[in-house]
Amino acid sequence: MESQGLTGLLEAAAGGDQDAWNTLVERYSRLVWAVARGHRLSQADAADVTQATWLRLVEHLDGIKEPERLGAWLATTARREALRHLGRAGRDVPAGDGLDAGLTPMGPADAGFLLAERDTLLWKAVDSLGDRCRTLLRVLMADPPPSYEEVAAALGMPVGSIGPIRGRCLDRLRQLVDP
Amino acid sequence: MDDPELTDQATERVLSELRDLAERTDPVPGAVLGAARAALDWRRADAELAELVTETGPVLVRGQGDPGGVRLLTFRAGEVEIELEIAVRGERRRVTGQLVPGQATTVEALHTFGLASAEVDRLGRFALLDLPSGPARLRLRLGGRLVQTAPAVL
Repeated sequence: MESQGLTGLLEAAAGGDQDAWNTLVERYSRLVWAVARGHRLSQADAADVTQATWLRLVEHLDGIKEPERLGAWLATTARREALRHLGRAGRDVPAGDGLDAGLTPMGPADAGFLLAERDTLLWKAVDSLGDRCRTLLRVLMADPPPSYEEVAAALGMPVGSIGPIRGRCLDRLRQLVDP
Repeated sequence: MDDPELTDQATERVLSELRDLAERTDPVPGAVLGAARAALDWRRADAELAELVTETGPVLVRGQGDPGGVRLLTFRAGEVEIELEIAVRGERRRVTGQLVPGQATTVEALHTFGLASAEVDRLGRFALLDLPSGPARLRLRLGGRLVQTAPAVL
C-alpha cells in the first residue's frame, strides 16, 4: 500500500473514521496474526496478542512518524506482545533451535479437524525446523506477502540477514516436502 | 548444480502453497477481526493517558488458593496513580484497584467483549470482580478530566 494511502488512512482513523480503520485492519490482520502464531501461541493467546497490537496502534494513531513502515511497526509490536505473553506465563522465550518450550505446535487452528495429508506434512515440516525458521516461515505465510522489513521486525533481526535466512529455511523446507 | 531460476520458481511455488495452507487451515478468526475493528472505539482523544509505570508478578500469594498468582500494575497520569491487583480465576480475572489520591467516582473497564463498571469509593478503592482475560483498559472521570489507562492484558 502506497505511503500516501497509508498516511490518509491513519489520519482518517485518528479522526474516528471506522472505514479507514477497517481498511487498515483488513490489510495487516494476517501479518499480525502470523507473527503471533509464529511464536507458537495458542489461538486464544494469539487472539490476545493480536488485540493488544491493534490497541497499541489505536493509542498511537497520531504518532506514527513513518506511515510507509506501518507494517514493520505492527510486526514489531506484535513480536513484543508475543514475548511478553510468553514471559508472563513463565514459559521459555524461544531462544534458538533445539529448545522446545512445550508451546503449541505450529499447525492448524483446530487440531481436531481432518487435514489433507499434504497439509499435515507441510505443518509438521515447518514445525520441525526450529524456532527461527518456524517463526520466519509462518510470517512468510501472511497475505499480502510481507516485505523483508516486516519479516525482520517480526523476528527482531536486522533486515540484511533476512534474505540468507529465508533462503536457508525455504531450502530446508523444500528438502522435507519436495525432496 | 541448481539453476537459480528454477530454484526461485520452486521457492515461489512452496511459498504460494504455504500461504494457501495458512489461509485454509489457520486463518484469522472472525472474532479476532471483529475485535480488531472494534478497537477504534477504545480511542478517546480527549482522554488523558495513564501509562503503565510498573508491572510485577505473577506473585504467588501463600494460602490464598490462587494458583495463578496476582499481578500488580501501576498506571500514572500526572499526579494520579491507579494501582491494580489482578487475580486469576480460571479464564476470568478479579481486579481490585486503588486510585491515588483517592476520590469517589466511577470506573469503566473496556474489554474485548464489552464494558464493565464499578463504583470507586471516596478513598479511591474499587473492585471489578469478574472480567474476562485479555486486553482491557480502565476509564475514570476525575473532576473535569477523563483519564484512561494504557491497554493492558489482564
